[in-house]
Amino acid sequence: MRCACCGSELTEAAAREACAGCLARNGCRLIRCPHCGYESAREPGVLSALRRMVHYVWWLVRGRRASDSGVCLPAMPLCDLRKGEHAVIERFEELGHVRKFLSLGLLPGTSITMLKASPAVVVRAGYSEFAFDRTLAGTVMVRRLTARNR
Amino acid sequence: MSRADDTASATQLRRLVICGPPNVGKSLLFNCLTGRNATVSNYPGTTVTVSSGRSAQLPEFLISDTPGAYSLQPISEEEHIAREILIGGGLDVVVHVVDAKNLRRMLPMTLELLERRLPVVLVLNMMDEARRYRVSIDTERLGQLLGVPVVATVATTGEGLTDLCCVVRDGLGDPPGMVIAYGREVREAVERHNPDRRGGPVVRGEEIDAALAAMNDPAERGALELAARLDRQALADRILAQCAVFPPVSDGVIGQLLNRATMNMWTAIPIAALVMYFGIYKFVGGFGAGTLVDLIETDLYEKYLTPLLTDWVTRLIPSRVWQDLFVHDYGVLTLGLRYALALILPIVGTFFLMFSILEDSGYLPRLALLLDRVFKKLGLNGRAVIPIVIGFGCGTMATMVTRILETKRERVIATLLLGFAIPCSAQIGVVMAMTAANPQVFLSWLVIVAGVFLIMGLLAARHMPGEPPAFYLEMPPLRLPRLGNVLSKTYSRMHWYFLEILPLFLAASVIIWLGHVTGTFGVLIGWLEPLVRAMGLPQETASALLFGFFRRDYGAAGLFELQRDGALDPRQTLVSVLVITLFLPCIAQFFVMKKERGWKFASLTLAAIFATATVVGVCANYVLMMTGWLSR
Repeated sequence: MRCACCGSELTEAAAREACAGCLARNGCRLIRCPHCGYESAREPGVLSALRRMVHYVWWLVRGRRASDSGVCLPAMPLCDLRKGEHAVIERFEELGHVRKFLSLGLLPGTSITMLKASPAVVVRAGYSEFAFDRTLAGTVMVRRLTARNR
Repeated sequence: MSRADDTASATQLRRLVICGPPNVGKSLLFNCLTGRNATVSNYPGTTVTVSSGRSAQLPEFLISDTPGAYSLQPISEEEHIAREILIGGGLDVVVHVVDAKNLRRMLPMTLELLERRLPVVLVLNMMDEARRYRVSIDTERLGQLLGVPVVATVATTGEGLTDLCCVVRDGLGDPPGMVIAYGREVREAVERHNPDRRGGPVVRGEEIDAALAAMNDPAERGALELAARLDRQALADRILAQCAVFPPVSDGVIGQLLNRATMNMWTAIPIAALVMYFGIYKFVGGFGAGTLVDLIETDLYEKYLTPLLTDWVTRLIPSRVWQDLFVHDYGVLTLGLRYALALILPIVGTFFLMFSILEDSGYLPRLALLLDRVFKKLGLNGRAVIPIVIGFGCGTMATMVTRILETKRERVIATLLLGFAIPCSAQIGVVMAMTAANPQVFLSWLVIVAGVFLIMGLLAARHMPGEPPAFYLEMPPLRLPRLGNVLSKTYSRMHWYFLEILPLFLAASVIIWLGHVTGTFGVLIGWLEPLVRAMGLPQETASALLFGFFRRDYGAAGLFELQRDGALDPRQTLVSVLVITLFLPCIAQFFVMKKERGWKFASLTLAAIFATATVVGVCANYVLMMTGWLSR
């Protein structure tokens, strides 16, 4: 939510920190902005759900979310990818493990879909599925594909 | 392989080698061509040795099946085997089998083969699956681009096999060879290793091999392999762009539901439990070890065959000593043959049938995925599920299958665990039958054996030097097992098992007879007796344990008889099944261990296993006596 006074974005964690010195913090419906100190009322759950829904509809209509900017995202380890996300392999961090991936036909430039993140990572590449343990998956850097640049 | 070489040179047969990545149907193709029964299953790494045969359609060829290899740069032991054959020379036809829908990632290996001027025929197998994904490949155009024949087949139905035979029979002409334009990175790496190289800008595959072989740093090797592979892939992609279309795969097919369910923790554990309960406990334990054994052993053998045989032999041979060799208590016909045919065969047969269904469905790699974390604690990776599960069928076979594991450390640990705490199907069957009346005994047995397995694994993982294991595996699609393949595989496994055990069972009978006649047997039993007494077992179990030296299942079968005669109370049953489970691996497994890991390892393991079994047996007995549990 946004601070009603200064308009800065309030995260739950930051607000909790700002409330740290307050005696009445348990069961209090107010939320304190860490920037300006203004205490706004906490947003009711129904409202935030409604807002998320509006966001979603807006995203459907516009075709992408605000965070889905067309800018290239930084490379991230494969194991941090979430289920259902698409990505392209960027590089291998551990060259000693490269042959394992080569044997499965996974090269830089191969596009993959994350199918499962735990207990081991399962990805689909082409028409096949591959499983790795999370340590091995951590050595693969991938670039996540968003709805736009997919 | 050496035998194959001999026959080839002796009869002037031409040599045809089937090679290709794992799990694309090489062995099935081999079986189709030769009419033999090499084992085929739905996971990578089923073939660990080279089998050879001759074909009716291609009478002038000796056909060899090789273990799967992703490239000519080997990782695991079985890939080494494939590489040696391909590089070794003297081949007239190399049939490179690939999975048609995954041609994009498998074509680089074809290029590698072409680069080495091998007479390649490219076989696009599993065309039916490719068609289902609407993959279209213009085989003629692909053949023109590569300069070699390309054949599309469906090995499961036999489609395209005639074409393949025609192509091979018509002859291939000179191998066209292929030059791969490796980039600067590859050339520099090769030149760094070999400074006075004078080959110009074009790098040959052999030079890359030599450079890789000379590199010690895995990272450096990895970099070169990656660079070379990227260059090969680029060429493959350029070729495929002209002759194939691979439409993107669509999400959310209904058939994927079961696939996901077997990979999700919450649904997979109940599925695994169901499979265990119905597949192993009910089918192998109940039907195999109960119904079938009763039918064959009690109704058929004991009632009709034993009296008949005894009658014959007593009439033919007057001397009592020689009679004993064939009939009576320890005779070859009444003991050795009966154990093999009536007790062990039904149990092992039902297990192998169950196992064939499981492995053809593609369930095992999914189990590997789920158990990977547990196996990591034991110093193994999820892939070791395959040898361990096979170990529940036959430890000897499983010890050979440890070759699919990547590092020596993992192979050693898996071999150890198979020797220590994995009972084979014959033992499990006997244990289940012995404990059928008393589930408490069965559960305690399960808990203690699992405990020994875990402790051994944890110790091995802690103390064995080497790098930690890594798990990576291709998940084959779930497929409905085909009855024909399941049956032929069960048959070929039982055939192998039977050839393996029958002579040993018979030999054991003869040795026991010799032991009785000469009296050495009594001495040995005398040595074992204090041990047996320390475990609180009746003295007759000493001879069962002694038989266990020859075959674990033989000893187990002996115990089974004792228990059926009512000689063992629940406590003694538990202790004796424990000891026989943890006891020495059978002679065949010991010899395979020796072959795979060497004398020193095998004998040390043997000693350790013997000590463990004894200690566990004595402790279990002591604890049971103290607590008074299980003693009525």
